[in-house]
Amino acid sequence: MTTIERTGMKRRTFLGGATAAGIGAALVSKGWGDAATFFGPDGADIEGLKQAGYEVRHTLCLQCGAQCGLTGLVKTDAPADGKNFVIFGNQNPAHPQRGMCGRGATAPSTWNSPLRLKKPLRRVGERGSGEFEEISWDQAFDDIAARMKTIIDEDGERALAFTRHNLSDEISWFQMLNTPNLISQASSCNTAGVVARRWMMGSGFHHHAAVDPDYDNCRFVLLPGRTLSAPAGAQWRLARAKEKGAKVAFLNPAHPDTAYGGGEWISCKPATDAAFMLGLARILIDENRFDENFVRRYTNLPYLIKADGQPLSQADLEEGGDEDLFKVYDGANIVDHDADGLMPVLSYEGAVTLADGTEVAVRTAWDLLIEHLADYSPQQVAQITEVPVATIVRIARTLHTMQGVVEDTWYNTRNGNDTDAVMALMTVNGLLGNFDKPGGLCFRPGHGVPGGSLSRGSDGTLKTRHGFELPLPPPGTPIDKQMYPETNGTFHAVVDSVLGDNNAPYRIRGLFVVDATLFHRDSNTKRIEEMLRNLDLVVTTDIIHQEVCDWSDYVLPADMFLERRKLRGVGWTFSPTAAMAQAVTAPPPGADVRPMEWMAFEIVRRLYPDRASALGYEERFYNDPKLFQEEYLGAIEDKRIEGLAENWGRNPAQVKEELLREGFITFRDIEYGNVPYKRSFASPSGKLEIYAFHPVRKGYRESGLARHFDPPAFTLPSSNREFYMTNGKSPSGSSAVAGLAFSTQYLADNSVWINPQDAARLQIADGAQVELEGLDTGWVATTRVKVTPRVHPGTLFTYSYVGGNRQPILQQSEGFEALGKGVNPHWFTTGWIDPHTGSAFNNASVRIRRVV
Amino acid sequence: MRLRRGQEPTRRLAHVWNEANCTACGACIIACTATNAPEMMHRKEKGWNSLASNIRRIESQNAQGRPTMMLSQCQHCEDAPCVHTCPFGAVHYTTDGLVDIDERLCIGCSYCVAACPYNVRWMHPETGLPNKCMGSACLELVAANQQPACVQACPANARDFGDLNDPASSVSQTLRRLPNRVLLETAGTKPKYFIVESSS
Repeated sequence: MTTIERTGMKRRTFLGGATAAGIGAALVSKGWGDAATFFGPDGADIEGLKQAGYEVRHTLCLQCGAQCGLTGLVKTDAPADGKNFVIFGNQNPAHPQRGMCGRGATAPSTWNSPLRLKKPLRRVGERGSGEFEEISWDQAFDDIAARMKTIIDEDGERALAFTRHNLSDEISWFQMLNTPNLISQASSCNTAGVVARRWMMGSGFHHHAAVDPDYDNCRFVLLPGRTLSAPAGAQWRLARAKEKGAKVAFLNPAHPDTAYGGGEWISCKPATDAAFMLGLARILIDENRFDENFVRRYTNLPYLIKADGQPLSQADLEEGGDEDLFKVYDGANIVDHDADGLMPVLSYEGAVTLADGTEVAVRTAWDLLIEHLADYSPQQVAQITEVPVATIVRIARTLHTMQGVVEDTWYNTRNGNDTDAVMALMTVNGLLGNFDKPGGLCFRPGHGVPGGSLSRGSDGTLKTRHGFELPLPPPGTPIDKQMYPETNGTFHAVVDSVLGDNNAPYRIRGLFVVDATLFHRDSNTKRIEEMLRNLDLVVTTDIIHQEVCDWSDYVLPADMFLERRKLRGVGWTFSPTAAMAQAVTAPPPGADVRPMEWMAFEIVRRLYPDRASALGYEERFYNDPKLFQEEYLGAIEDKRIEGLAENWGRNPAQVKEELLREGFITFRDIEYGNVPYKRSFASPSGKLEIYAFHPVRKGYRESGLARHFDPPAFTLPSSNREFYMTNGKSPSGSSAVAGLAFSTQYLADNSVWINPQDAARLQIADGAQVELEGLDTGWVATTRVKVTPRVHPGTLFTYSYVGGNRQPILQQSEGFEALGKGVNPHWFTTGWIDPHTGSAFNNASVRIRRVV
Repeated sequence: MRLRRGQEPTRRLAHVWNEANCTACGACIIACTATNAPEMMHRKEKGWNSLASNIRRIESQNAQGRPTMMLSQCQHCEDAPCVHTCPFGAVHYTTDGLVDIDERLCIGCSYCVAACPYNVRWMHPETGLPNKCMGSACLELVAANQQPACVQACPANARDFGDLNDPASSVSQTLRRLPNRVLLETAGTKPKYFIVESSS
């Protein structure tokens, strides 16, 4: 070990607390034993490290969408050969979303994976064949632009669609093309919950991270369908709460890995979450375990509902009245819902004369709820959910006695009845009244990070954050919102459009797939294949050779998060926090990868040079993406930091310095007691609408109450060889990128789980090969089964994103062959879309047969 | 440093795994490989048919049929069968109370692999020698008064490492405060890998 002259501890940064020294482990492993001496219990000697040739660079993990805080330690004078950096969770205990889970731990192996895309590729075989030739970036852009021009000339810009998974800011640069069709993956992830929250609490409360349990102080959290395998910060906080006595329970047909950590697993039949929740609601009311004060003041259960299911409003009673001025009963009279000091009566039944002279019966939503819950006794719910009565009763009582909450889900599009499931769990939360309190359901405040790098004004003009403007007409409504007005992103609208189904208003001919593994993301593989076959142009940008690459005309290798810089707001915290990701390392040898933003400009400048130059894209950036990143994107970053600092009354230089030094900056602690006590919900009534007015008024449904119904998205299993086919997340491998990591084949195996009872009945042994046939799609696949009590009887399960990868490159990459085994759940899914919400789903039904 | 015959270890370093906090995310398993055997990150460990990590994930079920999961690794036994079995004196105790393998003396006979009742060794395909916790990198780390890679990697506060001889160490405090157990307690091996059974 050579000796390094110490410089003294001039500036320290948190790299640890109790685990500061862990960084030393990584250093030692790379033969950097000297560097370990710069780490001590008080942190790291940053100046000393620098003089010794090391640098601490914080980043944000993108191995899934949670973007947890990681830290990289880099040997600054070494080539990017994989031995020049190590990563670990950001060790500062003040970081609200720090930590590295199993997926994050795969990032270095993704960085230099044999599957890493390194050169632009042009397809030479049939779509799906995986046969490519390497071409130059200029060749790729020239070809792509020429083919796009043909499409635009013939059918307009709207015939081009762009879809993404996580990179919303990066893909936004394609707005320069002025197509409205930049469409996210939401429908196969969070749409059901987003719509339910918007219907019940209004815009601003609908985002999947907008409402969350206060894990730091929680006492009991029930997680329906949620594994909590991300974000890592929530796991850390929950672990600390458990050390103070907190309990956690998972309602799920399959046992989540996270339930190993002292959690109770409530095994249930798939697609029955709404029934379970309504059963809880019934018990809370029957046993008087609900917060009556909260229900009367802050929910719309006291509101009067007409016999047709519509809320009674001033517009019903007065000519020209306000339809958003609702009516309640105050014990003596029917009054406006917003009267000062009003404490409306929960139970009331009467008749009113409408403005047109007709008389109608009215009842409170509370009375309707009581009547509705008559169908959800513990015994009835036990029959539906296959959860024992005693468990249902115990969970309801625990929620009350421990002042618990029901987590409001993230990924929740599973069966087609999921919007009602989220509405039902919010019904339980409304009865508990545990909002915006320590340990309750709390609301994420704004983090103050200025929005996108490129934004569009109402007149259509595009503006960069650093002052360039491009006047364009408004592009119109995206095709998914034309077809599904409530959605926050339904990619199947593109599928319908290409295939001419479901009255799609026009045909999309060109598709850009940006960091989105379509085959594992979107339901019904056959339809996805058919769509890809019928497109005139398919371009994919990614970091890893995903299956969809093989169906693309051009594959463009993008940089990964370890190689780029980004300012973001931290999503999963109640303390407003911004985070800065720095480039930890350069790309691996031979990887000619480029940033997405630069790709967008290179394509646009070939089609519309004036648009690119109007937004400040200069000729000197053409062949110099690094210069583009440093100067162009750097200027935008500086402006965003200025805006961030201004929003919090801070000095921009100090904000930037802290972001770089610590990787994050938190502007204030959590504040409780605001919503709905000081600030109302944004629903039509301003209350938590347990009886959702919006979908009733729109005619989507007759009642605003959540209900259980059989999943409409697939044929129900009906014989002893037919099963629900479910899937869910592994914290070790379930993401588009981590799913193709070498370690994933061992830590998130791609077998299909079957319950021992079912296996015994069908004489299927652990490890046996079985044939699965989709009841709706007819897709037949052979896979290995794992006999395990971790799955509910009558149900099969497999981890999402880790099975059924069909790209030939896996068989050509030693050690990666097994990632091609197993099944992709979407081989069996029908592609059904909820006609109102636009929500898709990920479960299906299959017939199983033992392979002899 | 190798413990000499008749000498008492100066420290009794021990691993603590809190099964009630562990979310089975696998970060510790991957971090172990990345730290101690980075050359194996894209290579299968054929003996276990797994990632070449010193930590094993074992799934099972309890008497009630509920799923259980355990992380196992070298227990750093104070009466270690592997130490007694090694014909060449390669497997030995250290003055820190750990069990280590001196690769200069090891010929890869695998006697220690067979002797270990916890079955936590794997054979390196290039050296032909047994590997286990602590890996060489983590040992260097401990020598530098640092924490092992698995402890650093854990996002759920489920791992700890420290000196049982120090009553103020976090592991000593945890083991005093929370119910815990060791594996194969009656085997007489005196293991120092403690499984904490409750968070509070």
